[in-house]
Amino acid sequence: MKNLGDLFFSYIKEGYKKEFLIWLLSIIILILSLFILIKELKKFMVLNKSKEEVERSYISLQPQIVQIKKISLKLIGICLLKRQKFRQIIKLV
Amino acid sequence: MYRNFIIKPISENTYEGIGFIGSKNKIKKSEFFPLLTGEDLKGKKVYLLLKPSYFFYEFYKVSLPTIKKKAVPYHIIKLHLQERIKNLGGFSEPFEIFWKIQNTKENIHELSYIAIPTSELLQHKNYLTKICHAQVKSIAFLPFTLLSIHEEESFIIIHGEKDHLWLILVFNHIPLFIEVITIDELIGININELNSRINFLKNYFLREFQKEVNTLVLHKVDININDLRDMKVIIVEKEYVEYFNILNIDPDYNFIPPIERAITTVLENNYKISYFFYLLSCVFLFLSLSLNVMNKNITKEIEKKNQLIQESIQRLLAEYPQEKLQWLKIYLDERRDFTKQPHPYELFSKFVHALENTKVTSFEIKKQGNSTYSVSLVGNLTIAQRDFNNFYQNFISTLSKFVKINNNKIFYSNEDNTVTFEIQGDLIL
Repeated sequence: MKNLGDLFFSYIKEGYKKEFLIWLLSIIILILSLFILIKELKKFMVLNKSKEEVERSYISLQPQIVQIKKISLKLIGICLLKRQKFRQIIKLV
Repeated sequence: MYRNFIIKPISENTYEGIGFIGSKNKIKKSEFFPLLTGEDLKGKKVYLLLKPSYFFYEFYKVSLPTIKKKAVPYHIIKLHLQERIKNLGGFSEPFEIFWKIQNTKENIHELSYIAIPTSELLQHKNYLTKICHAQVKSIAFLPFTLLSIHEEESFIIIHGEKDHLWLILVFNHIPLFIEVITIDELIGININELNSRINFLKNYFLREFQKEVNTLVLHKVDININDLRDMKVIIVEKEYVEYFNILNIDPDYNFIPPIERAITTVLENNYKISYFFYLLSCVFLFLSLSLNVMNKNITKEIEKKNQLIQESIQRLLAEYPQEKLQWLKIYLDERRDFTKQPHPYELFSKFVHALENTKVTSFEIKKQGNSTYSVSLVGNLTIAQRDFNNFYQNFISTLSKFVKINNNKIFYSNEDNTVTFEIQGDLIL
């Protein structure tokens, strides 16, 4: 008596070759598509996180730039004031 | 055109039968084919009606041991039946046995079994599977497909084939006796022989079951009914009834072993499931594609934002040359140092609040390190003795908020009710 595996493969070979190949192909395609989906999903999650970080840094950069400009203007003002005082002293002397 | 065929062998490799479209429960279209060859059946689903030239059928009662749930082990029955057939001298060549336990009362089993030569069974099965690559769904013994031809409790069926007649005695849809009568090519059906066989069956039934059988069912037989006048004769008009009955045959009457049937069921179910898998794969691929498009858009957005940030930085750098940046850096450093230094107004305000009603004789703040300032404080206060504890707790707790006290000396003099204190510590910035 044939064992179960041999019997199974003899059936596949004799009358169910097409059915078996279609089933095997469906399994392969299913696994591949699942693999691609997982890959894309992972990529999507990583990109989404990066996007959030970039947006955060972009938003936080603007007030910093404004602050730098303000400080710079203040500095220029101080310099001008010092120069003016210096000139007044020179005149007095 | 037809995917399914129910066939009956005519000769070694030729068949006659019906092709149909649809499932076995719902046939949409069917057609009879008087001649079918291996080529016609290639890759088809085939239901085979077997009418072996030699067979041994018997319905009998046997006492066999039961083990669990009144079931008799498969191999015990097989061995018992093999032994019985050998003893009866049924076959001189290897044979296959198929049986059905019809009734069980305690250890007594009513069995109906059939033995057919292995060569007869494999001849068609191998030809159909190995040569034609057909899917053989069922192999059934022709008389078994005729059991439900009539609804009475007991009846005799006469079924006609081209060159022989099948004589079947049926009781409660169980075949009790099956016999083949050959039709002579020249004389035709021998009515006398047929009558004698019918009488034999009637007697057998009367003897074994103490009942009479008076109904004769004729199927595909052309005989003079007057010759059988002592019986009620029913003529079945349905021409292909035996063909279609194989579709719903009792699994015990199917000559394909259960294990092989299980394999074909698994393969067929896998085939059906594969369509669902394809659908699921399509859904997954569609989702992947959508995600891919979304990912590309996100990547573009990130690149755009990055570019904007870079542009902002570049613009800022262009507006502020190196000299300007150096000034800015100096300013920021100075500002940072300045913010780290203690503010005198704030500091004095805190000390004034803490040293309320006291006379400070010495007060010193010294810069020790980069941002460390030591404090030294000496003073006195006149209060009543009972208020000393309150004063002490309030004084220390208020001072501790901005001075880390390293050393304190506080004395109370009863003579002049005076508190003298000396505090040393570091400023908390």
